[in-house]
Amino acid sequence: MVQTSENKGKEMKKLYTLAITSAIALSLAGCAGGSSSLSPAEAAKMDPNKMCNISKDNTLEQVLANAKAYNAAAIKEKVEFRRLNVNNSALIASIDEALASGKKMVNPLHFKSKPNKIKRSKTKLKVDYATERACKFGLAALAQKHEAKSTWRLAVPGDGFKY
Amino acid sequence: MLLKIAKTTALVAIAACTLQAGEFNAQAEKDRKALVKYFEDKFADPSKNAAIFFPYSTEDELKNNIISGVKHEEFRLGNYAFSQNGRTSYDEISEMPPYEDFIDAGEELYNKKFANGNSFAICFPDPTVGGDYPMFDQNRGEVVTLTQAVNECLTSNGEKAFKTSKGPITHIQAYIQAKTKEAEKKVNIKIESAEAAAAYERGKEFYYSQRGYFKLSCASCHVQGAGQRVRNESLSQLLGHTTHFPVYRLKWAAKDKNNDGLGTLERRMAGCVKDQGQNPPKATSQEMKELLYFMAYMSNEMPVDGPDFRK
Repeated sequence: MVQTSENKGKEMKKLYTLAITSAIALSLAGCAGGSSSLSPAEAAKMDPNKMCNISKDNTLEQVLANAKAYNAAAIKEKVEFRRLNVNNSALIASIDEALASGKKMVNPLHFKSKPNKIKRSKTKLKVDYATERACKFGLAALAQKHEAKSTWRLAVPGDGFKY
Repeated sequence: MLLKIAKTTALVAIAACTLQAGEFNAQAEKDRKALVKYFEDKFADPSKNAAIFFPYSTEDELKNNIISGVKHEEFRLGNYAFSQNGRTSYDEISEMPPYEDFIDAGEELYNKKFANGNSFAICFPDPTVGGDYPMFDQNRGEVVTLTQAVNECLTSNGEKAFKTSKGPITHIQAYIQAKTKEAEKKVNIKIESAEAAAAYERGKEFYYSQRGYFKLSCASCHVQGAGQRVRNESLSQLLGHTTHFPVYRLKWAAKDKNNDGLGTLERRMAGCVKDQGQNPPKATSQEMKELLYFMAYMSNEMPVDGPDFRK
């Protein structure tokens, strides 16, 4: 089938709407929080490989759901990761976008992307890898926040930092 | 007799209040003095103390590039305080600083009337207040930054707020800082209540907490890492960081069509948090303002030295 530029434009618009909707939903989930939101202390006890590696017992859909839950909690805690100009929520949105369109690769939005001026990042990852990464990013952000509560003073001259 | 009792009670109350006000910054003062001592110790004799402070630097670098015996106020120059190579370029560029036109633009803005006839000169009748921000506003119970104060001046007069990272906001800030520097004023951040002390502590915790994809704290690079090299860059030190903003960065100028390389402190800090691998806090968020409050307190008693330029 020959794709006209008009069709391509429509498809892009559709995908972009999906990406934006997912990103907004993820952010709202983060803001709304709720009692079910994972705490940094709980996250620190979890095994990232067990929760985020895709396997027979831990499907891509499950890992993606974990990624969404962890990242929502990370946003709530104001510690969301940004790697190579991509916010983790944008990475998750790009996975949703790829799954909806049947693509094997994700190309998330740059953090500077705006609804009226789409900017793609240079990041291109396989869907499986991106999902595991998004999940581990969410979990690590939370676990670090918990760890930092007991380690930050070790870096303060005159307090925990000795030389 | 009654008058005597009233007088004594009033005196005791005043004395108690004064004592308490002095105590609110006790921890911050302890931190600041320890930080000054740390950096003075670190740069007292880098070659001799290489094993403690510069384990990854070469002997040649320590001998020929790192300046020894840097003292408190000199740290306002950032890494040009201790990097001989950097200082040479800095001194050359300082002969014709690239930000001067923007101070003039800021002066024009300062005196320009808003639609309602007011101006920045009404909001900031004394422009030599650069060293007093960020300040803790006791009535609002929050830290107020210069960026916020400038924008609140605009919006309270029916004008549109400026962007918080670059452009006109840096011009007006450059003018305010230049006037403060001209008046030879020093950084003068106050902590006069338990709320202000708590805001300072939160800012300090943010600064020293490891975060982001790289699990770095601000201190990893700018306290323990200060003076060490990342590729060809010498990492600057926390002490004096806030004294010279807004900063004209050659990197920012190269990206701007008007060659306007000035950026706010918030812009720089957002860049740092991004480099740590985290989505940075917004310019006027509580986290950002309290971070700047802590950083500025660390530079207390240092001369205001803005605007300045950096690579």
